[in-house]
Amino acid sequence: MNNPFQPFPVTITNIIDETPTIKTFVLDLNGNQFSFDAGQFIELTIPGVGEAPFTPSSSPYDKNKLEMTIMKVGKVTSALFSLQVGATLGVRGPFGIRYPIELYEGKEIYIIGGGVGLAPLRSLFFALMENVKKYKRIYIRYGARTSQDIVYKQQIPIWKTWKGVDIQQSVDVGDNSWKGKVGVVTILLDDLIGNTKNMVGVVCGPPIMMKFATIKLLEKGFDGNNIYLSMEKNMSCGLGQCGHCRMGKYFVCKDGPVLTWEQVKDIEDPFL
Amino acid sequence: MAILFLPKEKFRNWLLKLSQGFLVYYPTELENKIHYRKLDSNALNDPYFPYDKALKKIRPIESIKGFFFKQKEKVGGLEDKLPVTINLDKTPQIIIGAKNCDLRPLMVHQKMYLENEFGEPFYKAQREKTFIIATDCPIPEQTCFCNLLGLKPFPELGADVVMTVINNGYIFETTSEQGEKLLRDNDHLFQEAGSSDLVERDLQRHKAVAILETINPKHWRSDLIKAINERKDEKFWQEQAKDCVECFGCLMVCPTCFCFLLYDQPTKNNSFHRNKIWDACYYSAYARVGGGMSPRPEFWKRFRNRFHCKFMNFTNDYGFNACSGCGRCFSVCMGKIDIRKVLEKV
Ligand SMILES: Cc1cc2nc3c(=O)[nH]c(=O)nc-3n(C[C@H](O)[C@H](O)[C@H](O)COP(=O)(O)OP(=O)(O)OC[C@H]3O[C@@H](n4cnc5c(N)ncnc54)[C@H](O)[C@@H]3O)c2cc1C
Ligand code: SF4
Ligand code: SF4
Ligand code: FES
Repeated sequence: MNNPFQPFPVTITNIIDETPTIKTFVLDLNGNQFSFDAGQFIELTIPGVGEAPFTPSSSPYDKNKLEMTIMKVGKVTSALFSLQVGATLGVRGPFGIRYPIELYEGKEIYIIGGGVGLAPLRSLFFALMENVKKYKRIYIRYGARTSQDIVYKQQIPIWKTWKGVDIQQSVDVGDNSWKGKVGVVTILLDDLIGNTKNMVGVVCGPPIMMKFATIKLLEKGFDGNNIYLSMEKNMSCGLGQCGHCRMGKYFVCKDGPVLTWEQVKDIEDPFL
Repeated sequence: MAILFLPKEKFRNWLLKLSQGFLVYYPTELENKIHYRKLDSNALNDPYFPYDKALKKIRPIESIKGFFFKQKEKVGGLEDKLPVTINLDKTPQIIIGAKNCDLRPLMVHQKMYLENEFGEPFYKAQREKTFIIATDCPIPEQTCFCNLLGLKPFPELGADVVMTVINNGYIFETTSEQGEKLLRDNDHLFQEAGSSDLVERDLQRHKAVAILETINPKHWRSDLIKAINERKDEKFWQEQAKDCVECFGCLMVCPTCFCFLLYDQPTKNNSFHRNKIWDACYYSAYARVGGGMSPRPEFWKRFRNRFHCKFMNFTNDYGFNACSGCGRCFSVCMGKIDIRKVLEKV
């Protein structure tokens, strides 16, 4: 029986502390057949505690392991944070649709992340880097609350050296150790110029950040069809059956989780 | 296959035959209320058992949904890192007496589960082992409003066999291959229905339709979807929801509601069973996301969501409403909120 509710077991092989409330979990798939495309998500089971949806943060091209960068916010994530290397988890998926990256070819791509929202975007970033020449330029604009809350602290400086990539960061609240920009992430978009109608914006972060980033991109002249938004909705099945993720006419698990502004603009409070 | 007739005196005989090969569920009166119950040997062996009484009433208290989409069902889990084994009960069963308002929900679940790209093997297995013998509602009651949904008070789509109780017996019409086989297995009991039998059935059906039109003379506006969509004001929905005591019985008895939650129960160390349980959009946790945010924190928005779901979103997706007019929701409602009235005012 092909049972879409049944997870397969995976093993935690490494846990990386990113911030006081965010960790990256590296999973060994134990030989199970699994692959995903950037934009799709999985349902992760903590045995005996429950399931929650997460988007892999590793490269879809990396077939040996799966990484998830996760913030501790409640029941399932707290239980996950108490686990050690060697623990067994369950995975179902992948679910949802991928970023249509073929449409991004020849374009300037703005990847805009807030807080842990950079995690799902990292897998898109890695996917784009596989064929970086196909894109005009990849910009990452990343905002975190404080310098302590920045994820991938060791990796970002390396990415900055990569060809075809332009990275800028800000923190909402500065401190002595922070030498960069201070302010919400949208300040990094203030001097965005060019043929914006043809640019792609990909946004993931807390609801309020998504909202203001979208407003900013629209102000700058981005086309609603080119603004890709990761919608965080309550999800249970991931299959388009249980009803939980319904947002207007969409089942976010099946029609998303990434939807364009054009798709959601008529929905009352799409970011809530 | 021709339309068949079974004389009254052979009915018990036929039920006996059916119960040799199947578990048979039958509308049964308990304390003045009708429920589907296993047809037991007491009833089968009693020549004076009032088989028709409950059959001629409107839909039972519980819908047939629970036969297929169970209130709680084990659908997975891990035990020592291995998937738990689930033995599906494949005993064939027959449900007798389902009404049209319990058949329409099957079409809703067909869309949501069976036509879903991943499928729903548990629901499917239950459907596959079940024959449905549906019956007419000769006398619709005040809570019935299938006519407002464009449905008839007799079985249309979704059954295997349609059975109509008439004065001196039963008329049978098969509506699926399965149903045809079911009747053919005992075809020595049946005879071809006579034209006067069919006239009797037609008259009875016309009468039922007319009764419904007097119960619900006022049809909803033809642009209901648009009206619901444009009814955004909090005041209106607050007013409609004001008598709700938030028991959510309406969604638990609803035959069309399809929402569920995957709920894991720990067994022993690192092992768990995963259950699929009924869930409903009126619960505040239903749409809540990590950290406590919710798209519908206020109750009036959750109340409104039910109307968005049943009469707008589902309707836009599939061309029919996710409501069958069975009236169960307001039959159980402590605040007496009548879904018909809300839709009239919207
Ligand atoms: C597509 C997608 C991708 C995501 N990717 C990531 C990612 O890469 N990284 C990341 O950190 N996060 C990600 N998230 C968010 C993540 O799924 C949530 O943070 C996670 O579900 C929180 O689970 P929790 O149990 O720890 O939180 P909680 O706040 O404890 O619970 C959240 C869930 O439990 C339910 N719930 C809460 N309280 C109750 C109650 N009292 N009774 C019943 N139910 C209750 C809620 O309705 C909700 O379903 C993603 C979300 C989605 C939809
Ligand atoms: S909403 Fe009410 S009337 Fe409609 S199918 Fe559900 S219980 Fe029956
Ligand atoms: S009305 Fe609510 S509980 Fe019923 S199917 Fe729709 S969303 Fe689910
Ligand atoms: S999570 Fe179940 S329908 Fe989307």
